[in-house]
Amino acid sequence: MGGGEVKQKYKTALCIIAGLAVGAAFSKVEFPGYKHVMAMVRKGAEAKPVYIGEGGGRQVLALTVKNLTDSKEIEIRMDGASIESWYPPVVAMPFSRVPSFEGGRFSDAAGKRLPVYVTFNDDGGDRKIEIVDSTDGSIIQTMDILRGKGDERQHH
Amino acid sequence: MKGSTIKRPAPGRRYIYILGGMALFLSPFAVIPQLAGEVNMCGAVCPRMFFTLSPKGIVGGFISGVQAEWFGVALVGLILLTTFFMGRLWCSHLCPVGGTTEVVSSSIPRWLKINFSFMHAPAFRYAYLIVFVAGTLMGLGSIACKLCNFRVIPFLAGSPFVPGYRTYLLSSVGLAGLLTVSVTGFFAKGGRAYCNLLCPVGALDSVVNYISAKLGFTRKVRTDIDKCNGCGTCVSACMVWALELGEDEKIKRDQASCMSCKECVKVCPQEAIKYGKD
Repeated sequence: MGGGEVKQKYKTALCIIAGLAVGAAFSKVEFPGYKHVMAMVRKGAEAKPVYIGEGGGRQVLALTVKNLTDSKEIEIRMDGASIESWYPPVVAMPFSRVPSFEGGRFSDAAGKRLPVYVTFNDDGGDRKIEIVDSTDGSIIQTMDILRGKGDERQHH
Repeated sequence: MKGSTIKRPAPGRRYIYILGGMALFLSPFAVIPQLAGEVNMCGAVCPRMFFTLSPKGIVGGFISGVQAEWFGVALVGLILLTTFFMGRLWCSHLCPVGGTTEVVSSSIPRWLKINFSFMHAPAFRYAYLIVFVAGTLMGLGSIACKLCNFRVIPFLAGSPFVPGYRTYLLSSVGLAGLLTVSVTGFFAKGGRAYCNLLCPVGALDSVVNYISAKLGFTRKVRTDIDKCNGCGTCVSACMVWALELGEDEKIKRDQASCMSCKECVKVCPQEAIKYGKD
């Protein structure tokens, strides 16, 4: 076996280790001030709490909310938080089926998945997200914001 | 070489396809995502989401539509099928994400670029892919949305119009993704290090490309060793460092990494490189 081949084998082995290490590191790492949570909206169902870090400061919650109710108008709200979505499309195509979004309120949202960014400054106080049926103002579900690790499966 | 189907690409045509891919998939138009009821490449269009499912979540995820959906899975299936018969045309000619990093990288001064060719790409790529898939299945944690270029690039494209995209990009995970895409994309030599090392779709695609080439189905780059004078022009033109000069001063090709871009065909002064079927 020549020197070039030996060098190549070392390079291969090192890159395998590096690939495994980088993958393992990023699968475990949690980015401060950011949490991705998926939730189902069902009338009367108890929502799982959302766990955020203890650090405080600016927090961004990426909520993917699947609306399993018949409500066509859904509002996401939380005191002192900015609610944003990437809906509606910048240039809507004639065939677009995306709900519209304005002022924290989604229209044509029945059965749809609703992506929301909830941004707030965490001062350590109790907080909750309210999911509201805008047609009659009733609260469909609330999600408590808690500190700590919680259920690891709820984010990625 | 006799009887082979040889095609010489017209210069710059690939970038026109890439621009078409950007218009189809990215803001402001996002035509394909809107066909699937989305506005970007997350959600139903996500070509990676099905990697993130736990065995328990697969059925429930599909039923509820919260996780994987048919569109992203079908997109990956179509990409792999195309690759099997025609080479990696999605990655090299249409992918709006890798295409964007490549186009941006081409406008960045050479002295600012990082050359990743010191890495053994297949070794790193498949090791990373194993963790990407198995990590989730075994409950060790998921990489999927972290560092995702299919999120960062569409969000960058939409950020002038949509405040929510800026919120994400300025969050800690958004900045980490932006940094990763910048280092391995915009500021990488060839602009395709992310595609070659970290993209799970690219990794699967490269496996299909390799198998198909072995079975004689796909078109591939072939070198006429008699004509090759070992000048190395093709080696420096290859954006995924799939070509190298062997100890005999002749070109060696890593078929798994080859992205079917045909840039080596264009630059070879000896016309020793062809692209076609056996």
